[in-house]
Amino acid sequence: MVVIEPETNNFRELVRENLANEQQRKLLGDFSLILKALRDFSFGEMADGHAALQGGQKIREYAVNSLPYLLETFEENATKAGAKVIWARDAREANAFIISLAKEKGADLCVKGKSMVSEEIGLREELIKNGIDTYETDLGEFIVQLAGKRPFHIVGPAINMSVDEVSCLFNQVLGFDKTQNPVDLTMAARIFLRDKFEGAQIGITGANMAVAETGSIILVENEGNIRFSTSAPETHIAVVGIEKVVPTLSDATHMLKLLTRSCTGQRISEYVSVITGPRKAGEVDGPEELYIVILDNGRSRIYADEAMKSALQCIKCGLCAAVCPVYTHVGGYAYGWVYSGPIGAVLNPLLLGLGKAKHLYQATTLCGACKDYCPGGVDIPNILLSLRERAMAGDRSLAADRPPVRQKIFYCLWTWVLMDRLRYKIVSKLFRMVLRIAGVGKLPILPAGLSGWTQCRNMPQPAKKSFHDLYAETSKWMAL
Amino acid sequence: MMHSATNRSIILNRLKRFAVRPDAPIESKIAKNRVHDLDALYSSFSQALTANGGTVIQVNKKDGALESLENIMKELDADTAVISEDSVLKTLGLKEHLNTRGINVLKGEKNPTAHKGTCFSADVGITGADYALADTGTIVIFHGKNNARLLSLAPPAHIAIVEKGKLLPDIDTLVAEIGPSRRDLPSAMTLITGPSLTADIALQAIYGVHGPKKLYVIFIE
Amino acid sequence: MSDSVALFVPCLVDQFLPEIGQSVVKVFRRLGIDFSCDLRQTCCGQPLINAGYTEGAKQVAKRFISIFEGPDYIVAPSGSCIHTVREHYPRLLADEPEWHKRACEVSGRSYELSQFLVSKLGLDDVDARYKARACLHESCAILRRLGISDEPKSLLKNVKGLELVPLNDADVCCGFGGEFAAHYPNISEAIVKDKANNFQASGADILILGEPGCLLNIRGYISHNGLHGRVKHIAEILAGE
Repeated sequence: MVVIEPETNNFRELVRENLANEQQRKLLGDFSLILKALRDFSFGEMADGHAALQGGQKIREYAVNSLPYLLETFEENATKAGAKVIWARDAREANAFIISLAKEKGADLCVKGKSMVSEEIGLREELIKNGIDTYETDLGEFIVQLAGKRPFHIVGPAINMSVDEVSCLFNQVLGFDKTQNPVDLTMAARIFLRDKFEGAQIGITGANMAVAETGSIILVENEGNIRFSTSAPETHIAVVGIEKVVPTLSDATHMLKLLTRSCTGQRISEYVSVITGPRKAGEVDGPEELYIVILDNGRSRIYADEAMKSALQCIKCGLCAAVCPVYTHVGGYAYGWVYSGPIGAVLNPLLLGLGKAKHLYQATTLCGACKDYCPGGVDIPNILLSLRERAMAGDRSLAADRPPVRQKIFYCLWTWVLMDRLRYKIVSKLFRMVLRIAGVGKLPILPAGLSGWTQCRNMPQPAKKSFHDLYAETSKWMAL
Repeated sequence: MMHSATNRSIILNRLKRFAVRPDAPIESKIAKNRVHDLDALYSSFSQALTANGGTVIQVNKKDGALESLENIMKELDADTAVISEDSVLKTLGLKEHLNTRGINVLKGEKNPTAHKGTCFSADVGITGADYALADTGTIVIFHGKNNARLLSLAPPAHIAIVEKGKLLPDIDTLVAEIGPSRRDLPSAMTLITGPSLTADIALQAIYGVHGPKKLYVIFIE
Repeated sequence: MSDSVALFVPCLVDQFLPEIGQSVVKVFRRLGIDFSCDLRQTCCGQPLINAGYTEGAKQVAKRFISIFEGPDYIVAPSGSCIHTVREHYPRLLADEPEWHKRACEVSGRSYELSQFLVSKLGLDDVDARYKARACLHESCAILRRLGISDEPKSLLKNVKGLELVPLNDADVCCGFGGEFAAHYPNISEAIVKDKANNFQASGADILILGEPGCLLNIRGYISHNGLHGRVKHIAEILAGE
């Protein structure tokens, strides 16, 4: 068992490592291309994909703006259907509740569906620490659990492992026979986990959506492990972030269309479970009890911040990562925590503190592809700029570090220069002179902050005369 | 020790300071009911589910259904089956018919543990379906007393027998069709659009990782 | 046209690429557009905004607004500068109602060059001549932040002698991102390398774009690595050979 601590401030080191991995880079590049193509094709099939996208963004915006009222309605309806709704302020509380419930039930085996929020709170590790055997049941998550690694990619947690590596892993940890056949490996996992589905007392999942109108939670998957986790054990616990609620069932089906298309290019996933309360009287399967743990863990703080609020509109489809030029090269590991790609660049700092993830919101070109593709309408580029503003201001409420003094002096001076035409002329002329003397193009001698440019590029040729100079001359000449 | 009710107040009050009351009632938007061309819908359904790895058959009589079923069972080399209490299956006399063909129909268990045992050991699960959605090739099962969840999940093959009249164009019509009873949904409603699928090992598409490897949908007129 | 047009010259053009400014002047003169170039201008303040230094950005924004409040149109050969004026100025000055109003007005009159020519003046043929096989890189600020894509394409289609070929992943970022290129050089390099490779694979001799920052980035990479091809701003193509 490995407890995975955030490595979000190890960004530069992780980037260096990951960029050096040629095989991984090719895989990331190819996979992103495929996901993007599948997404574009599936949106192209819709009567009006663009309108559908905008419709989804509006639904999520509306939902987030009315969040507490929708949560109340959700709770009311879920409770009417027999679910027990529990509210947890943070990871510690959520884990403590779930552990004590498991102990109360005398549970010693738990099966888990893929859930980012449960990774955020380190639930699996806590359960295991408390003597409750817990298995990830999504095949990719199962593999990375056995390997003690972080998921490589949102959509494919273990796709960077070769068949041989998975085979060695299964052989080492579970005693399975080695094989070069991925079907055999999959079937071996199937048999192993089937046994766990049958024997587990508790099933734990997240939820893709919580529907206020009906009190239902909706879960999306292709493998069937979530259907098992929510049908076979006597107790089902669903951990749901406060932001997951949508108003109505028709809103939910609209978001569903965008979610599966954005995530894997599917019109719909192989299985969609709409769960409304525990099993009813006379039913022979399904959980006797359904606990829905509504989790805050820093989200209400984000909610209170107008500039950051739209981050909660995210539906966790992973498309932003597939279209992000930074993610496509550095991969998920570099983001150092549960969330990766553009939404990771936003959520990791907001949830962990700006000082703990200081590179994530700086290492972006702000190209805006993420925003253009996002079905939830998250304004990632502007949130990133806001994060930079708060970092520059040393905002303690977001746990930003105090910015180095020289940084503030630098930008203060830069502003001072730009505020006066003569100053600008003189300083820029000096700057160009220095560049010319330093040897432009082939010989990079630059102030430390800018030397990164010349690692792979020539310096631009500084103009002998600036445009302003030239224009002034011509105007003078033209006035004669 | 955490106190849920207190947390609830704290969280909701904090959020309400920055929230806007919903300006519309929390009611699904329902499109008008249309008349459906069942043949066209069947055609779409068949195309979509077949492309997704399922097998779709249309028969026009009880005998046709039983014959198709037999062929499938032979193809699967199946010995045991679990079946749901769906009225369509009862009308077909499914249990009796399968018994006469040498297929052991495992007894429907009332005890959850025993029920798990039979579902996990059967070769095939046979159920009905409440709706079928044409544009995605999806069958919709309202789980309840008559349609237990594990029947369509645990056995390595799942056969669904559906009345053709249950075909709807898409998921939006489903919401419209459910109508006011969406206020009283079953404990679980499952939408199934193909066999269980994964590509988690080296991006190789493999069927039947946890759920059934084979899915058959037989439409009866 | 009788409306007044003010030319805004991005600081990168002023300092490193004055020929782009000169090209814009040449095109305006050819079209008989009466324009002014207020030499009090310095910079739109984008680098300060990107760094999160809002106190400085606000000052620079106010200065820009004061200088450019008069003319009917403000035109710049850059999408990122215009995006800064359009989207960020009103946001920066949101809590100063008077300045916010002025920012919104200036914002509503600011245009990227190709959008000004095609959408405002209704001209997609500027009587340009440029013999070359070329492809178009769609800079992020122009394509995504301003939503401009058809305008540069229709202008280039009418340039005599210009053969346009497709560029793979034309809508993918080039890896400039302002200070990003210098602060995260290894990531920036990975991204610009893809762009350069796609350029090489296109068979074009010239890569055309509308953003000075992208230009310096891609041109710098190509020259450093001895790759084939030249990078030109769309203004230079429209100004002709």
